[in-house]
Amino acid sequence: MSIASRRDFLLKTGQGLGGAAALTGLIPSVGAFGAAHAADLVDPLAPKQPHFPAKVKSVIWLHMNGAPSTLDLYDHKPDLVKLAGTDVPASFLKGIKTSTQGGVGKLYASNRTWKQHGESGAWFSDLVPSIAQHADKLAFIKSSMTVGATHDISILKLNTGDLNPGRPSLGAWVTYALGSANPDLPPYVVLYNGKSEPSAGSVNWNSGFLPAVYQGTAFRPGASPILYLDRPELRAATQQRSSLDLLKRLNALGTAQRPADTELLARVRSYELADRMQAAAPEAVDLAKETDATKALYGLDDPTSASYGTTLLRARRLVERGVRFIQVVSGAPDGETEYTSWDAHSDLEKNHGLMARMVDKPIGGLLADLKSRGLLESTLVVWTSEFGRTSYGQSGNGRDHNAWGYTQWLAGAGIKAGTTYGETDEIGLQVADKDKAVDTYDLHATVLQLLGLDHLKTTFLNNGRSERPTVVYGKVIKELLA
Amino acid sequence: MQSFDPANPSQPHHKRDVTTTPLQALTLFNSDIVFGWSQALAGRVIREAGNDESAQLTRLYQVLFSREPNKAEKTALKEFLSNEEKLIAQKTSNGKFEVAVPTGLKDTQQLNPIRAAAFVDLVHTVANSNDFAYRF
Amino acid sequence: MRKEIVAIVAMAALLAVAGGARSDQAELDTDLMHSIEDSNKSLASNIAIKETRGASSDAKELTEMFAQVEAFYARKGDAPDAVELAKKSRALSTQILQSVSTSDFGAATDSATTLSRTCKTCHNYYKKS
Repeated sequence: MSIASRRDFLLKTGQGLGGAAALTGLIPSVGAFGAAHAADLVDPLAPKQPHFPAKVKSVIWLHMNGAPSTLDLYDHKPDLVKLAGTDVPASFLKGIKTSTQGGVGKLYASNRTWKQHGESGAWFSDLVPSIAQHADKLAFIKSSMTVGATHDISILKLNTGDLNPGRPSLGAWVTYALGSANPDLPPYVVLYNGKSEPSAGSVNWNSGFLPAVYQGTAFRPGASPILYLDRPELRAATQQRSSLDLLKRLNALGTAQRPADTELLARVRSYELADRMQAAAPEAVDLAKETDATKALYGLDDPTSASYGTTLLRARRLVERGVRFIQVVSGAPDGETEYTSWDAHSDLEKNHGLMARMVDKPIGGLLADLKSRGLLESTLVVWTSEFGRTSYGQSGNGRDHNAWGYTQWLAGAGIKAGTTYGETDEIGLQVADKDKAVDTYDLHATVLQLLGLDHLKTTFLNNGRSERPTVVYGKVIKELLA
Repeated sequence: MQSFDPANPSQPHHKRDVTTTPLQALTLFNSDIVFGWSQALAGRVIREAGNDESAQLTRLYQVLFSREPNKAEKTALKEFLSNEEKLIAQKTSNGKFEVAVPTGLKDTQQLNPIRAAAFVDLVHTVANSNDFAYRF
Repeated sequence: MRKEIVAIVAMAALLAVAGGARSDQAELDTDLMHSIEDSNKSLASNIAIKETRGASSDAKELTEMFAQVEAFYARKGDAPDAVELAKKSRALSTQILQSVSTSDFGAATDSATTLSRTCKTCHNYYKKS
């Protein structure tokens, strides 16, 4: 009796294991294979040269999930404080469509004290004292804007450039364009703190229409970062090793017989990477060898910042090990159930008090640590969010979503440190000069540029159509580059 | 099962993605569910081919790949089996007597559990090798 | 299919204009907007792979479609910004056609990206959603 398909095998030998329905989704069907992809498949993760020389080798993408109010962190607006408690003057609402539940509230100011820091004199609120120490390392983008009033959609746009699923994430494009710098680890890793995976989903690190090998690998918090990294319980380590050696031997016999079979080669490479990852991944995330001083630097001794600090310390270790794109999604401190993201529609004071305490020391520590180890010269750190928050209040003591003007920042190799690009209006609601607006596409184009990639030349042929990370948009913001 | 890229229904495509990712490889090699399938397949092969080692190897390749193993493969497999038996024997002599044996066997079949466990390891590995897990 | 839509919409626009007194078309035809979006995406791809014929055809279609958008808003009378943006879009499309004909795909790419941004700018003010 022969097996006609993989589904057949599962049906015939996997009786009582959930049935065919549960399994058919597992197996991708193999279609006809075009010659165009053959070269890529020999080793899709082989390192590739950027379009032009660049300093940045690794990106740490700090996604502040839930959308922080940068009006309460970086974007100092004395006029907002002055006008707090009054209605938004009509002139500031021109050109935008508000959809706040409960209506546009009065202008809101939280209890902040603001100070200028460093030679650049950049403003920071009392919520981010550690990050403020690094004022002169940052290049602010105070004219950020985007679309979409809901988190999931805007997060998708932030990461993949589209409001609908189907496009590769920025990390996937980077992996596609540059390949891997460390054959033992995935080149694109997703980190998060908190109990569960980021709620917006894995579509935010998927490969879209790019080959699946470019998708992000999520490392879970805790000692066992990848599911199935450990062998089944009933197999000893010696059995695992000998089985993997047999696998290599059988695969070698296969490739010797079919040397031109690129699918086979790619597959063999995946198994080999998986084999190496079994040892390399736990080592990469193990903080045992880090000094107490380093751990304190990242805020691991404070229960509020401990989990986020752990992810950033892991991120630094991954950078040291050549991982190209590390997508860090902020979660919540261990045990926190009330404020689980930056999404402060109400209780902004308490919410941001907690969230800022969660990220401030770790981010300051990361910047200091990267600098002292000489890694800042080859790493790009990005503070980003799906949008900002409104100047007018919501629910009395919160702020609504604001896609019309907010702040993000860059730090690290190739950027013009200690500068600010663009600004919002006097009350921090909209971008002041629309010609200086920085959309997510522009942020992507700029990040790619820093990696040595021209976004217009980073293309992939999908069903006959040439695609690029910036869709049909994208402008490199030259003022941010050193 | 997110590690396997299910077809994206919102996008038309005439060619499915064929690259196996390391995550998929890890799942296939380490997941208890997949290992359970290997135990079942090992049981089936022993049921159908009997206790003779060569017959079992031939039957396994027929089931998985619709062909017989060639000489080089047979050599590799037999070497593996004898080596694996030693490894498992050592494990059990150290006190850990849990081994993964083939499932679905008839009572009448007298099996040396250590040898049977080695065969399970073999089946699992062969099932993960390029030919089968990748094509059909 | 897209060409048929363009033809039908063009006919409808002509009839509307010819109708004179009939100005009950309160909103811009969404089919027209979808066609523009499709052509724009196709244009970006064709420029990227240097497919001259495809890019020229897309650019020509866009020029015609933006003319209709311009006519619509001119007739409406209360949307001078939209008229300007439509004019600018038409000019950019013509520019792209020119660049493609001389194989200056770099210039064509720049114009195409500017054109996409112009779409967004107009949508900020005039798209109902």
